[in-house]
Amino acid sequence: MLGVFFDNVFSAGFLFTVLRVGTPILFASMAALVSTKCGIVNITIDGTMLMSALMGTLISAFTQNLILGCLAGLATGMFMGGFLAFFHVKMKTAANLTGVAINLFTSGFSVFLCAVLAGDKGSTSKLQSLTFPNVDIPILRDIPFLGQVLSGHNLLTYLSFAVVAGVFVLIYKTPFGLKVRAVGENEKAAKSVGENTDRIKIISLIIAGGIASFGGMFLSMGYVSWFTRNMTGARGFIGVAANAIGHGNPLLVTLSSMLFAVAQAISNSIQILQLPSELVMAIPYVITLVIMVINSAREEIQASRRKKKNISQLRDASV
Amino acid sequence: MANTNKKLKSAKQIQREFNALKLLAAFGIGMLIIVVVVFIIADEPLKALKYFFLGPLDSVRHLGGILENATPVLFTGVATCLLFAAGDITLAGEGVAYFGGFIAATVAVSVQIESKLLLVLALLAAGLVGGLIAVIPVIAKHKFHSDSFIFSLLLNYVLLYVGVYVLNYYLHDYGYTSGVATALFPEGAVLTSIIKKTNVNVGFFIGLIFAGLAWFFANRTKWGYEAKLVRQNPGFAKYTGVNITRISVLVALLGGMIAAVGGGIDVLGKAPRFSWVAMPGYGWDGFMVATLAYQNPLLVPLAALFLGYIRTGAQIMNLYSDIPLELISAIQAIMILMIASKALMNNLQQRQIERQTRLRNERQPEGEEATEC
Repeated sequence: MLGVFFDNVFSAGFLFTVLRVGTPILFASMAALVSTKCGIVNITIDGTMLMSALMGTLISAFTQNLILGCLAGLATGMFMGGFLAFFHVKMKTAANLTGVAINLFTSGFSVFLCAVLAGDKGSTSKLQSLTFPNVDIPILRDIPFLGQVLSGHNLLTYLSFAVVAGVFVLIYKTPFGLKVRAVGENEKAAKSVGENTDRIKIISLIIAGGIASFGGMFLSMGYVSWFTRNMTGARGFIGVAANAIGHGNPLLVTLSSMLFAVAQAISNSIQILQLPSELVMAIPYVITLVIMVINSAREEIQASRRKKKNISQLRDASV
Repeated sequence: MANTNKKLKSAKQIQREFNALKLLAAFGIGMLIIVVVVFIIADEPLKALKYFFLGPLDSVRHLGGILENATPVLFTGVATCLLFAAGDITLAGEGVAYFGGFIAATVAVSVQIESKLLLVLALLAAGLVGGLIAVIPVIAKHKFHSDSFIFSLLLNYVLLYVGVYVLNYYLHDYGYTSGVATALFPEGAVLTSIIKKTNVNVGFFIGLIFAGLAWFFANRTKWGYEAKLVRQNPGFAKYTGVNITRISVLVALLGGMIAAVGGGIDVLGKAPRFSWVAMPGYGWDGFMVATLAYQNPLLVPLAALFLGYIRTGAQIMNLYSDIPLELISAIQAIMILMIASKALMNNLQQRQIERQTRLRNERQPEGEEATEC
């Protein structure tokens, strides 16, 4: 029985599935990463994905133009980021409360819009909407195992890995990224050297919204070709969790997103083993919780050690 | 001076007035949006609006609907007030309300008692388990310095998957073919209706009692006072010798118990079977209601009734016209955001406070201390 399991898990098809189900999670986790870098726990990512998924589908169906649909989805995501930024940064509402309210807003408003514009509350399957194409990569696809895993994915899957690289460059290699990190680590210090911290936060949240929008569009314009109510299935929250395990390090966050993707792929594909899929789905959350606790406890110990060391150094110096 | 005859207000009073003003403004704008949207979309806007505003009040059944919709939210709202009482932000209310329903259902279908004792036992078990679960994120925060918000968010999913697993593999009644559900609850476990033609049970009134108790706890006990101190100034609380971890765990325990009992009452009051395979969303609603009530447990019932009223109105409007029910969630969210905006009308409020302070200083002879609130 275990043999069947391993044959399944280590097949090219399975790894292909992992990359596929990992795409929206990866987008979400990168959006979460950009938000936490400027010090904001952003749980609106789930709602942002939902709105973008809907708007992308609707506009692509109405205009029959994929690029316009994509731009509409992207604009929606950036608008949602701006929405959060307006209330959190300008109107000074607590970030988590704003997040809860915006998610409530999107879960209702998306169904409302869907009903009014597509004529069906549950989904947009009546409309002829467009999807992003699958891409075969010329030379790669002929390499035996690797080709099966890496080639033939949706355009947005490749984009998600480009976004990881882009986010890394943005945060660690640009002056703007430095400012973002400064605001996230110590807002007052950043302010005291004359940075416009509000503006940095607003821009970061809008960027995060834009990244999240692709995660939403992947769901409704790639994974399937229609929008259904609450179709994100908490993937936005999973992205936030993946970012929490990865501790804001783009590489680790990517790996932890893939961990969630593996769990989802397993729970989709191992009916043969009769393992309860619910428990498999719970595993990444349990792992996240344990890692979170260990991480923060370790940091605390390190911090207190550093403090002790500093104190003893000071004492030595004064003697 | 013309102003001297007027009663002077303290800063606290002004703040309270502005809070009320914000609430009114939020209601006004929320209702305005509904009216505008209905006029744009509906075929017969006036009829739709009549269903929305007057529908909930036109029959005993609809009035009962208000109470039914308000009950679970009342519990999670009061629970949220307690969960947040010591300054920890946790979403445990959502997962615990789900798990409370699950535990109550599990006890109801698996324990063999032939009387209403079963109901009491089911709710007690739910409350106990819920309280203990709600404590976990708080302990993680205070012992291991994890972020309680994210922690509770993740914990909720673990609870959900465990619940769904047990439901699918152990509790599922194979005689029931339209979905996954437990067996029928035995009569002893069901909360029966107390008003004819409705599903209203004692749940709402139990919720009222909890609201009163929560208020008493927060404002009339040593622990409540300590929790307030921890929330407002943890540093000061620590130096005055308050055991921060203990007080945080205590409020989380109480809050979790109330949310779980709310979930249990909802399950045993509404359905003949338990069939939740997703979060009911009561925790998020509780978050909302607690904000609407400015985290005062005594105001939570009013906020919950308001929510029940607009939900029922939307349900009726949805039934008889072409306006989707989901519009309400969007409106509700906008209202919450307005109320939570610290910056909204802040300048006006600040100016008012400064003006009153100036007046007081003018009126008070020198040397006499200004006594404030």
